[in-house]
Formats: sequence, structure tokens, C-alpha cells
Amino acid sequence: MLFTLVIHAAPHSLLGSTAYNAYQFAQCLLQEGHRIHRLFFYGEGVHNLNAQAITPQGEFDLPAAWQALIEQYQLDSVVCIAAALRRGVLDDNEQKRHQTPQRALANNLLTGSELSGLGQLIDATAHSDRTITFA
Amino acid sequence: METQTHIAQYDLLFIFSHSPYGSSLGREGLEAALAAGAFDQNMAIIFMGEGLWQLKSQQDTVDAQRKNHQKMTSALPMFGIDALYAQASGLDERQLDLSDFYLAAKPVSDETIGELIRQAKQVLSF
Amino acid sequence: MTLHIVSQNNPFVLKNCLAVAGPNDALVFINDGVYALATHAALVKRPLTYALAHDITTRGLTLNHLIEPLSYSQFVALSCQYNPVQSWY
Repeated sequence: MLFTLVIHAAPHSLLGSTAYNAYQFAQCLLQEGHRIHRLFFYGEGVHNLNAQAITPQGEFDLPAAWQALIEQYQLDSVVCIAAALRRGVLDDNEQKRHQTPQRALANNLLTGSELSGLGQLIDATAHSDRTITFA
Repeated sequence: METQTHIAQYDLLFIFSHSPYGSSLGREGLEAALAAGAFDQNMAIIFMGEGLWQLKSQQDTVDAQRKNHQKMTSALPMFGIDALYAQASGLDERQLDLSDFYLAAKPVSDETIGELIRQAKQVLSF
Repeated sequence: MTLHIVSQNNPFVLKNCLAVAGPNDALVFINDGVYALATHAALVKRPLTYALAHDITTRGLTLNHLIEPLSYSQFVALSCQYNPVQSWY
């Protein structure tokens, strides 16, 4: 079965984070032979792919785990560009576009994912058997 | 309350259950809905619980320096999105009625909301 | 039939979920949602009600004799069996 997961939850947030649930769910469904049409990171969920988030030693590193899963299964992983820019998650293009001499910016989107628009979310719901939101 | 004989079937159903200014969910849900409208989806939005506050008229955000949710939401009909439902029990709980809203929404029972969800192909909740 | 995922222990959210869920819809409690099961005795007797095992044990709860504890594998299976999936939070 073909899944799209919409992830609103950040690894460390005010509300109890289902970002870990989303990751374990994704990992499990892939192991069981189902497929993921797209991971769509929206809202606070963009923090899941922030390369500058440093996990303390000995703790499960969720951003690294997402990146590894995305690479292992060659997943289509999209981060909403508007949500990401607001929260400081930039790719190379956006870093160059918004950087000024007064404001140093990092290119901090983990590799394997891309910034794109909400059309990718709508397209994903139309082409998946199941769409599941983790918030 | 409507007398329910036929339940519409939507490919994409949005459920808005958070207030407009308390978190980013109101705005980000709306932006997703507008995108779906731009893609001509067969869609509807259900406003329920705290999400009903999104439709409250007379939102004035100048002093708070916030983006006006009412203005953004008012664009829904221009994107061809006119299937809007409001949870009737949630209206009563908040002492709201349809005359408090700036957009026309159809009041529906919790039972009908359950049926709208069951009939939908996909649901996005904000 | 709908699969309802409840991920928070919020009485207003829970009330709406239960008001909307039909008798043949399934409920899965995950994350802090499992606390709701620890405090609502009537809820755990509802048929087709499940809770994620990892999230129960993480919180030091013992709901096992009351409720069907779900592995991720069973959670995936439920999400294949039911459609659509609605998340309450």
C-alpha cells in the first residue's frame, strides 16, 4: 500500500512530539513491504530535517535517523518551503538568496530532502492510498 | 440542523480544529486548503471545536501586528472552495451562531461530521 | 470506516473524537493520548480501541489487561484496513 505521511511535529516541541511515532511508523511500514509516496514535513515538522540541531551524545538522533531512512529507501522527502523559511531551515538556493552582508545564513537542510511548495502535499494526497498526519 | 439524506463525498477533506492566532496551525492549514483549491480538488473544510473561532468576524490584527486570518480565509470562495461546514455542537458550546461568521458555513451534527469523514478519500487535519 | 488517531490527552479533543467516531470506526491512542485511557474507564471498554504498546510502557502505564496493546506492525495493518485516517490533536 502506498502511504503519504504529513509530519507537523518537531523532535523537541511544546506539545508531546509524535515525530518519533512518525519515524517508527515509517520505518515499520517500509520493513513490511509497503511504500511511501512522499514524506511531507510541514509546520514545526521542518525541524526534523535541520542539520544544525545537535542531539546530545547517547540519545536517539531523530534528524540523522530520518536522513538515513530517506537515503536507504530513496524516499521522496519534501519540506514545505514557506514553513521552512519561517523557521530557519534553508537549502543552498535559499541561503544564497536571503543572505546579506549583515546576516550570515546557514544552508542547513539535511541532504536527501528538498524544499518545495504545498502543491507537493496536495499532489501526494491525490496519489496515495493513505495519508496520515502526525502532529 | 440539516435533515441528512445524502452525504457528499470529497477526495480531500480538511478538518480545522485550532484557533487562528494561538498557534501556526490555523494559518498553515488555510494555506494548504488554498493550495488544494488552486489545484481544483474536490474538497471541503470542516471547522470544529476551537477551529470555529477562525470564522469569527471583525478580526482586527493591526495593533497586534499579526497577519489577518479573516482576510486570508475570505479568499476561500475565490479559490473555488465553497463547501464549508461548521460543527453545530461546537457553535452552541462557544455561544456562537452563523451570524457571527464572515463566511457562509453549513452547520452539521457530529454524526454527519463522522459520516463526511468516512466518505472522504483523504483527510488533512490542522 | 475511519481510523482515528488520538495523540494528546486533551478532554476537548477526546470529546470531539468520540462524538464523531461511529461504532465501526477504530480508535488508536498514541503518544500522550494513552494517558486518556488511564483515566477514562468507559473508554477502554469500547470495542475497536487500541493503544500503542511503546507509548504505554514509556509512560509507566499498565493498560495491558484492559486494552489491546498495538505493535507498530499492527498499527500499520490497521491503517491499511481502515480508510481514511483522521488525526486528533
